[in-house]
Amino acid sequence: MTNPTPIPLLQVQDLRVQLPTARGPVLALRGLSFALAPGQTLGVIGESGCGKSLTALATMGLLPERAQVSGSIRLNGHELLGQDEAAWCRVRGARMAMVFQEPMTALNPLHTIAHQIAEPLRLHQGMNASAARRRALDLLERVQLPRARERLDAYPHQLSGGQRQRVMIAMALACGPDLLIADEPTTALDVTVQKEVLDLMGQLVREDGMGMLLISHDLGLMRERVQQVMVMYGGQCVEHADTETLFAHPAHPYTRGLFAARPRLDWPRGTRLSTIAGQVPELHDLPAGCAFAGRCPQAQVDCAGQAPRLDTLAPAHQVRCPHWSVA
Amino acid sequence: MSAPALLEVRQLGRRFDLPRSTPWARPEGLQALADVSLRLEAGRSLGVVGESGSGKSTLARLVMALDRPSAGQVLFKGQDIHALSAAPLRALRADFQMVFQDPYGSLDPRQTVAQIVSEPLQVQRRHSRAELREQVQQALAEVGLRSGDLDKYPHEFSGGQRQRIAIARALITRPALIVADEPVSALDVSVQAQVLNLMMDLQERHGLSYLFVSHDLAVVQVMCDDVLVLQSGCVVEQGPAHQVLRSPRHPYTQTLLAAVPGHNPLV
Repeated sequence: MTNPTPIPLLQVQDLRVQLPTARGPVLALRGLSFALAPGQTLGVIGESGCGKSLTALATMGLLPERAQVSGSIRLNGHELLGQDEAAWCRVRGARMAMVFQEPMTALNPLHTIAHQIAEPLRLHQGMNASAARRRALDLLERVQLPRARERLDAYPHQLSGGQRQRVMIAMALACGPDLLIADEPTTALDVTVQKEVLDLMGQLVREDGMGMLLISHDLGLMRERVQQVMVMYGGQCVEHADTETLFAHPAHPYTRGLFAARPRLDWPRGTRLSTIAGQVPELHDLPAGCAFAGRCPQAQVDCAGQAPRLDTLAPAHQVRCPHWSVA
Repeated sequence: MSAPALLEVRQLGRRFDLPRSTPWARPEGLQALADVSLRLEAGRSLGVVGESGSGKSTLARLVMALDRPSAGQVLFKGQDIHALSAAPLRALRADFQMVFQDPYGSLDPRQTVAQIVSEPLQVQRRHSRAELREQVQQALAEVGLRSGDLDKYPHEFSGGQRQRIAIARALITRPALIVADEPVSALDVSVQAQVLNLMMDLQERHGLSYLFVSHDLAVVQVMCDDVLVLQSGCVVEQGPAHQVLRSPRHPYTQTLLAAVPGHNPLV
């Protein structure tokens, strides 16, 4: 008997998203594929406009109405794309949940903390008000919100940024989702609070065997917090590897440029930082070939003409550049 | 007696009154800054680090005379700026300028680049229109923007370019001191590197001093000679950046360093 390969928790294949803009439709995600197993963490790195937040929104079914989506997004083997809004609503908040970047704007300022955490419980699990309130208290204690019982009836503005982010995590965990998507969850927080929130998320993922998609532009954070990393540029994955390999042997010129641009604590005063020439190209006028070719120090004649494919360097290391090199 | 430092801050304090709990109660106070002293010499950079609420921005605002202290003094080239009346303070302001964190919020969307960058000079009312335009062109060239950008509006620029515009606006009066409050925090990694390099180049070219407020310790390490660590409004550690950031003495500085992702203090 053959041992069937386990169905991944999340499988995204050839995801394309076209958005209408004032200057005509643009392809903002251009054939994105990745998979995530239960209990695994995948980091997505990239600069503004690379499509990392769009990937999260597409997975949650939260794209703007006029966006055109093609490809496949499977959660536990079940296809999500093409299902109606009612079906999305059954999955969203129940089987998968999201923690947003800005906890002040993501929470409703007019509702109490208890009300907001109870909402998914009452909606998805049909709990009555008092049961949902009890569960909300359990969740707040689980995310280690200090003085949780008193905070049930507090409004978001009465909490600090770190506390609000704990409330967001409690809401996301309310129905015990299989997949947690966190889009820059700690960017608005101080380093020490950031560490506490990330420690908490890591602990919950381990305890519950959830899969986590962590989106961030913070390279240092990725190195410590995820098992695999996907680097995005111009709506595509340009490099994908397990974290250790990516940080030890970055192969794509863009990844290498990003890593080199970060100052380090052991550098002397006045050290000039390495930069990536030029700017991120507009999605309207992406070149026909490699999207990074115009800024790439290793670009060659063929780069501008033909779009590179994702090549496999090692079993768990893929790179979208025919001229890749490893330090 | 030694010559006065470019910037000297003596026992600076700032207390804010909180809303009263009852109308007859005495207002509770929040001590945002307490007994802060520092010295910054011409051509050098001082980093100010700490978490939000530690008083970093309050200190920056007091040094810029955008807020008044409840105790202590800010001496700029030996003059107590909070003791000056409006006219001499306005004249002195040409010598210290500020760059803010948010390049989207700190530029007026309805003004052209030429208007934004020339404003600090217009306030002085000493220049003709032609002179103003000439100076703006020079300032833009300094920060790597083209003179063709003069009549554009902020929305036509990326975040990094907007921060260059903000730096040009600060440079145009040829100040001796620039107070930069988290100037690259809102920018992407590769753009951060460009703006930081620019700030270091400008410092070497013009002998500028920076009071550099940041939560990013690695950025402070490459940008600053000295560093001051604030916790709840008080200085907990102060000294040469390489010393404070490599062998921190105070537990709070150690906590800040240990929380830097990807930073292993043993390496």
